[in-house]
Amino acid sequence: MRKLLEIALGILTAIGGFVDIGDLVASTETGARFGLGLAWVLLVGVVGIVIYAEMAGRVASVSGRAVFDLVRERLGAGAGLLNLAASFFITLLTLAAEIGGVALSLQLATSVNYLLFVPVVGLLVWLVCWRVRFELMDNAVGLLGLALIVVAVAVWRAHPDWGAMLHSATHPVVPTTESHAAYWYFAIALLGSAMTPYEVFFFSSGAVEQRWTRSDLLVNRLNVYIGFPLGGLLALALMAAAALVLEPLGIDPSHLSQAALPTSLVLGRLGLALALLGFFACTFGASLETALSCGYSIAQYFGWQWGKFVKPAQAPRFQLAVLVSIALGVGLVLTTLDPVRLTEYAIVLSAAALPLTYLPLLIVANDPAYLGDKVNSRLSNAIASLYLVVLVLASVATIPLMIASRAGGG
Amino acid sequence: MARRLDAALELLDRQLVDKDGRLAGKVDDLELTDPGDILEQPRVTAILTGPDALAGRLHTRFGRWLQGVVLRLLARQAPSRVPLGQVEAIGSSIRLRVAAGRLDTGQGWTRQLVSWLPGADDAVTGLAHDSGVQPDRHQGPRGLGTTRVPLGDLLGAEVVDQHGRAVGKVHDVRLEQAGPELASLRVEGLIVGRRALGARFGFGRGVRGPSLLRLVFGSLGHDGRYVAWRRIRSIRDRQIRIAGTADDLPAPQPSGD
Repeated sequence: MRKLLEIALGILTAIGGFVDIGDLVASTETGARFGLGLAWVLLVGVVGIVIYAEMAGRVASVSGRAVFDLVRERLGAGAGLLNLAASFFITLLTLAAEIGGVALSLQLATSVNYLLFVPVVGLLVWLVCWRVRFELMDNAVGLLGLALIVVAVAVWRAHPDWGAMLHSATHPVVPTTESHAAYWYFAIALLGSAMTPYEVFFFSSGAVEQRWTRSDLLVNRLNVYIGFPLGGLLALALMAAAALVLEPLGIDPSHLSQAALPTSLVLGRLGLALALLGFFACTFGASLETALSCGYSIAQYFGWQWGKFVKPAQAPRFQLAVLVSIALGVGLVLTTLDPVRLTEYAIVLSAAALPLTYLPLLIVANDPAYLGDKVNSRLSNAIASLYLVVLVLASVATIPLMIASRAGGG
Repeated sequence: MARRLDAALELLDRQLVDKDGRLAGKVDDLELTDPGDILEQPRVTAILTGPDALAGRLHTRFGRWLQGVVLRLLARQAPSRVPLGQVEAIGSSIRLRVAAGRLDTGQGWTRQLVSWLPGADDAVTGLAHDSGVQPDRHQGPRGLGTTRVPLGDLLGAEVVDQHGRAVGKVHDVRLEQAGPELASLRVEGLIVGRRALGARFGFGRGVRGPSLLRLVFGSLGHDGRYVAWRRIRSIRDRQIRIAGTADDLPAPQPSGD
């Protein structure tokens, strides 16, 4: 019985923790501009993250080592350092975007300018990273994030033409108001929002934090196979809500409030309140994850003691790395760079950097020295390899598309 | 029964774990003690760890800049050494016989900074400053002609044959453990080739991998030749001259027991 509760908690946490500011912005924006024409990218992204997250969890459970820990062993010091530099930079950008997202959610709730919230949010993020136990932190924000289900409820209550929606999702068409370059640019952005690099570092490091072993492999798989797709459904709900409400009105969401607009229109004040709670929980949770991931990747590359499972004084460099990353993230947001724009850059660059993360993971997951008999099956290898090809293509196409579509503007 | 290890593949960049299970850095480099006579095999005497050791292995302009910056920042002359006698076992990670606190890995100032913050709960004593066991840096037996060089200086070095023709670059250093003690680890030879990508990923060693990657990296992979140490005639400025020509170099035997 207790095991069942544990599994349920894990799945619920995975659902609520799936969406972050990148998904919020990407799903809403693509829904408003392309209707459901990019829904297939969400499907591709969710399947991809499910496969690679399961691998990351398996590597951590069986070998007791987190993914980035093994990146240096496999790629060598030089290539590993380049990988670290790129991954750290992108995770830092994402951290800044998430902190911006938390501040924006608070602005929507209180009408106080978001910039005033930014240092407070940074301090809060650091305090939780410093003091709160890993499981408690993970479960609390994950469960609160379930408030986003209200968006799916809003879509349901809006009584859309389900047949038409299914048709537009399965027969994607680039709207006449948009260019093909912009369509594919947003496809890449959406892919980057679903398959975030930091998720792999965080998920595997979290498995080590929670001392997962071989016996936890089943729980790992259930969390990932059930929790992540359901979380993806929430992102799809955001896209559908935007497609139903914002697209007909021609609203181009450049502000987070527009992501909450459909829910408040259909469900009123209660719907809006729950949506904002959901936004807050998702972005706050993701801030914690990205801050810790910044610390994890640096500490794991250099071999320093890392983790919340030891006293902070026993992992001083790791804790300092987390602290400095949060400070840098706060600083970046305080430059008054538009948080939504910042998010867009973060997810697009994430998409471009995905092969850096997934290639070493795929190699490690095939190495019997780390995984023994739990190496990848031929099927997962086949699918994962296919994804790697797609990710490399997307990565190569990112900059040209960014230029051709003027970063989604044109 | 000799045990063979490939330094770059199986020793370098591995995690150091102390006797309590705490992480203590990575194997950033290995210290070789050069006996002075080129024909005699150098012994591996210590593991080098720390940012200065790491920077020394990056033989690029960036690496040299990093080394300069890091050394100025940390005000140190030499990397931290872990003598081989303190190593318990070499496996997928390197287990040490001592506690991490007894290694001079320079966490002192970060630990002091962090312990000022409330809740650091530093129950571990005697680590907040750099006193305590200080392993010697450039001391130790100074025999005639014994110098200590980092193994990283060998990696990536150009190898030329007796006619001055290029054979390739050093991809790995084959080590041999002659006796039961790890301290008997010595350099047996070099693995030299033109391309090394696949070997690093493990495709020769048991990683059957996704077929796609094996195709890409395996075929591009390793074309290594083995140069026994006794064939080396001179090592100067990252160029190694060997006797004989490239054609009479054998393929490397797999490492292991």
